[in-house]
Amino acid sequence: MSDMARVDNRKTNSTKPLLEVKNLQKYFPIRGGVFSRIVGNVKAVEDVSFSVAPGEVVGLVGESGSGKTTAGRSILRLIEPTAGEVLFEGVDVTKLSKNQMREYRKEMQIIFQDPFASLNPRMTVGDIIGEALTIHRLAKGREKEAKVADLLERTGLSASHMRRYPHEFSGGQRQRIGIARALAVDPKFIVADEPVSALDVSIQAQVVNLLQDLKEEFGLTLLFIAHDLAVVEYISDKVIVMYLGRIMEIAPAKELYANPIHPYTEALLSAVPIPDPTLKRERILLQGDIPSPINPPSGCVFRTRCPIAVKECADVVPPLEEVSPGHFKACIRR
Amino acid sequence: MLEIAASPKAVSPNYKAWLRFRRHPLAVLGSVMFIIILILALFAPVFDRYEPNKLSLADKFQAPSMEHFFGTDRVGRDIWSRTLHGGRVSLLVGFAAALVSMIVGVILGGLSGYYGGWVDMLIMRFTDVIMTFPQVVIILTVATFVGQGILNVIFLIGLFSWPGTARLVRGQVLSLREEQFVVAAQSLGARDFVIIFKHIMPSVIAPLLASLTFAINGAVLLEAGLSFLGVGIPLPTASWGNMLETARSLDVLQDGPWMWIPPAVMILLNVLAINFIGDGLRDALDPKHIV
Repeated sequence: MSDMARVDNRKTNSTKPLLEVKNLQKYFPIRGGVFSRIVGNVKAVEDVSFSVAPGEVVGLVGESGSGKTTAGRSILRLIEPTAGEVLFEGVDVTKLSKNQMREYRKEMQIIFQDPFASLNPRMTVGDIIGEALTIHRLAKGREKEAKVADLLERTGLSASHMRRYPHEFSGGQRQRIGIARALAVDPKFIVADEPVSALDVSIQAQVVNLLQDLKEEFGLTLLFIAHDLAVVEYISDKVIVMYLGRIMEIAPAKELYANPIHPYTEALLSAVPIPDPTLKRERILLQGDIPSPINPPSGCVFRTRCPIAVKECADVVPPLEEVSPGHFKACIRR
Repeated sequence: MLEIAASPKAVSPNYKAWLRFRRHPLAVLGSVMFIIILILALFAPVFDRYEPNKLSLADKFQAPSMEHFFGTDRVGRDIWSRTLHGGRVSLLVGFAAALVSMIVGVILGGLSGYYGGWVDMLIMRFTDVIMTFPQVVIILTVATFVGQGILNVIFLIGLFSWPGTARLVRGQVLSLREEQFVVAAQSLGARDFVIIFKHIMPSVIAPLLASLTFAINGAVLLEAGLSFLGVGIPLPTASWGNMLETARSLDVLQDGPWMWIPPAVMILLNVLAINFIGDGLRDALDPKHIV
């Protein structure tokens, strides 16, 4: 290998991540008794670390209650994380004051799951999308209107929709409005919090395609939260699998689907339908429900439902270990 | 594919509420009644026949006639004129006092609901304290210190009747704060002030409007009560309440019903009308109707 190539190689390797999450933790205190003492904690997110490179789409999957939404919102400080660091371009946003954080809101945006609840029913679409421009003093008057019209067109709606109210739109259209709102401030990073879960399957593909296109167009970096591995596979470069607030496995998307290591990932994958009726596949059915995050199992949190668990699994929390470049797993059995 | 073929004009939720209000029979009846009362009171100088406060001992204690529609009182003042002018005072006190209580209630309830924690704790305990006092008794007590007068009555009523509003607003804000569109505004970096007044308050206005009408009624009745007890609007200025007070003696009750029937009926009609409007508003603005 020539010197030049090595230098180049090192450069790409040392590309700074856009977002780095370190040991993120979020506990929701449970208060009880006469004096509202803290009697327990809902451990929604526990020791979550990962990084997102610029231009990358990272999928975050897990079943309901796995803490993926809480993780996404903690990163944006829509809920205050209990502990841990969130480095955005090297700056720890968890330590910023409310006013300093306001500046960073321009860089980090969110698309919500429920397109019906996330748009103010009393504001017109134009006002909803234009609000961000006003807040950050990016545009006003005619210029603002032109910008909003442009955003509507780019998200597949029409400029004439500006003066309408959210209730006049379908779910898919509302989600496009939500996307246009997030894009209004030209963010570098967007958390898409289950953006298609509330939509019909036929509409899901449209919205995912739109996000894919916009990602190219705006050079976006996305954290795509979903409980559906099929959707994530399509859009993501890297996938993080969460269970009960902890990361089970991280792998490049193709690698994860071709070669899942963690038994939880295997189980999730076996639930993804294959569009081929002749193909038979062994389905791994998990027993029971996800345990309570108030009192999670000791050691590996997945052990209570794991088909290959042994006694040792209860002893230590398995650390994330790299098995191949970029592929991490937290399991002592594999 | 994404075009909408529906209505040519965007319909705002408020406009839809107005359409529902218009179709509410009681609300329309109440509105008509109230508008008539309001016009009579506002344009009292046009409709009156005599100076409302002018004594005329020669004409005292006369039964209704063409000269005096509602008769005269014991010092010869024209009851018809006094009823009209009294309506001005009573309605002014009702609206102004309700407004004062709304302002205090919205601010305290809003802060309490939005910030929660110790702010909420402090404000709500204070609200509880105000609520535990019997309203009339405390107003009577304070009134003897600050004295009579329209302005005093307005502030006394307003400053002691906000707890209901504060609780209503707090509850609304508490639930609206968790709405996703509010979180969305936060994620855009909107300031608390903007979030409270642009995103939360418009949704609070609906129940607040309904409660405002009831607050007006409460204030009108309370003014009548205070004036009746002699700590409200000082004579000779007429109000529906102190007109009743002047009529408070056995011989007037028996022999001069024209002295107390007009203000009593006006209070009754006014309260009914506003109640109808309030009910109509509540139905029209019911969030369950808003798609």
